[in-house]
Amino acid sequence: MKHNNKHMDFKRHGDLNFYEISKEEFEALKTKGEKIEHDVQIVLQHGETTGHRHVLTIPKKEVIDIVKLPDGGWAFKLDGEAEITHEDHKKLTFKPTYYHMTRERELDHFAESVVRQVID
Amino acid sequence: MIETLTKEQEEAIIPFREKWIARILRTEQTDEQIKENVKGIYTLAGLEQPKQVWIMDSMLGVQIAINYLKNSVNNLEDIYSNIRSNLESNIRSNIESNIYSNIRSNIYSNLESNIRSNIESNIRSNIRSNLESNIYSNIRSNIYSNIRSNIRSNLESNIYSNIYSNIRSNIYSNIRSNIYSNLESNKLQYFGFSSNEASWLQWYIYQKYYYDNGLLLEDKYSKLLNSYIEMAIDAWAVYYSKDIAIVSRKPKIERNTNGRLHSEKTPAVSFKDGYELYYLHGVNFPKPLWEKVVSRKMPFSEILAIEDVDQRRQALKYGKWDDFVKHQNAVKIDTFKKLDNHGEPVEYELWEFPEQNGDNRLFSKTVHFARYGCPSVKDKHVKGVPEFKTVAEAMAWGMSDEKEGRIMTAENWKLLVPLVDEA
Repeated sequence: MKHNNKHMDFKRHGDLNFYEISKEEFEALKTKGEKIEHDVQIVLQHGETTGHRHVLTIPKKEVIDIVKLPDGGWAFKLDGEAEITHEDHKKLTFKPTYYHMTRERELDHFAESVVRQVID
Repeated sequence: MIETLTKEQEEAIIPFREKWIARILRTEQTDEQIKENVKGIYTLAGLEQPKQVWIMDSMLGVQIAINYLKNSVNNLEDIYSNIRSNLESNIRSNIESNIYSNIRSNIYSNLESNIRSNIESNIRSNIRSNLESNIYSNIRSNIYSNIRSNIRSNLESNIYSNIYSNIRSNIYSNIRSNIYSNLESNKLQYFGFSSNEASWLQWYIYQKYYYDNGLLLEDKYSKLLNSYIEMAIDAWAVYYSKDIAIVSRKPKIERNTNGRLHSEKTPAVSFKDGYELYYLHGVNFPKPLWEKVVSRKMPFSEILAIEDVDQRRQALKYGKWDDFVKHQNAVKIDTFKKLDNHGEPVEYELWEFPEQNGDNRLFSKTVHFARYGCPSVKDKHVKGVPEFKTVAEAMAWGMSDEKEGRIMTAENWKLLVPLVDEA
């Protein structure tokens, strides 16, 4: 889906990208993902060299329906507002809707310009 | 019910917190003090004191000692030869012999015959819950009955959360994670420490503020609280079992002004036995890479080739971008400026590096890099991108994932507001 409509929500938090998606897309992603046990704080990404974490915080656990995807991404449905925090990055707020989290990418020009996910 | 803080109480918050953070990080305590304090914690928790308190020179040493005592390796010599080849490169080469000597000296000074059987039960949770019910919960009720929630939130945020972030998130978790990976590479088990300062102490220090600043009157719980803080503050990481406690000596810690582990001259974390960790602004580096970065002589081509983006971002601060692009005949082909929600500028640049010839060439074809500021941290980041004419296209490409059907257009990237949509 081309993200060409400002009415669709998009957030970037460090190297994580959050696309607003439709209910149908969310349901399709759910079939590929794995349900996880969680509380009101969910660690979406953990930095290997900093120990710092991108943490999604929800007011109560029932507010979210979330699956972890095989490529390290996430898909979730929010029924209330949520916040994402990190030791370095400022806090962002998510409105209630469906989201797909993907990773930032870059080209490694020192290795034949291969495309890779940004590693933190 | 106390509803507001006096001016003096308000002004005392930050000095109080900083004083206790400095106490947590001090390293002057003697072995005798450490042993007495650890034994005292058992007594405060209503438990019998351990027969032995071992002091190891590092948290890694504590873990290896437990592994030895738990009999997960047959003898000390096995550990010695096992860890010699497996420790990560950021550790001083003679650490295995230091740990070996450290364990031997503890064995010689504690001639109990059945030490191995006595290590079995980890009683950390008993100690924690006993202290909670004997001290913490009583004071907590007292605070809730007498102090309005706005004051509690203010103090929780300025004392508890700040110490948690400074000590637990920025220091303790980093060391623990490095130790965990070293144990894993040595095929040794990890055992849960009781990290008194890191996990528990910030709550007790928070409570102490109320007594020290006249918000609560001294009572029997405040005496217990003061005793516990004095005992726990010098016990950096303890493995509590019924008959033996094993405690780590504190490391020397170097931090930047934000409290992040950082030093350009020495290890940011150094334990007595040589277990050392290198950090720049909270980012961990293997020693050889740290040495290259802080020498300020690391070629920019090598900086850009660092795979981990957090390490690369820190290393970029030590390289000279202007010299690099001049040397490579690179050209800035596009710029874009956004304003964040406070009106602060965030700048984006697209650079083209031409194809080069010769054996020492860096790029065998024309390549492009985006260079841009982080809206949150404000430092510069550089990453490789495909050939584009505008930095908006390059930035939008970085966020897109065609395989997943997620495509950001350049026009929509321009509409994203730093600190509202991007942070």
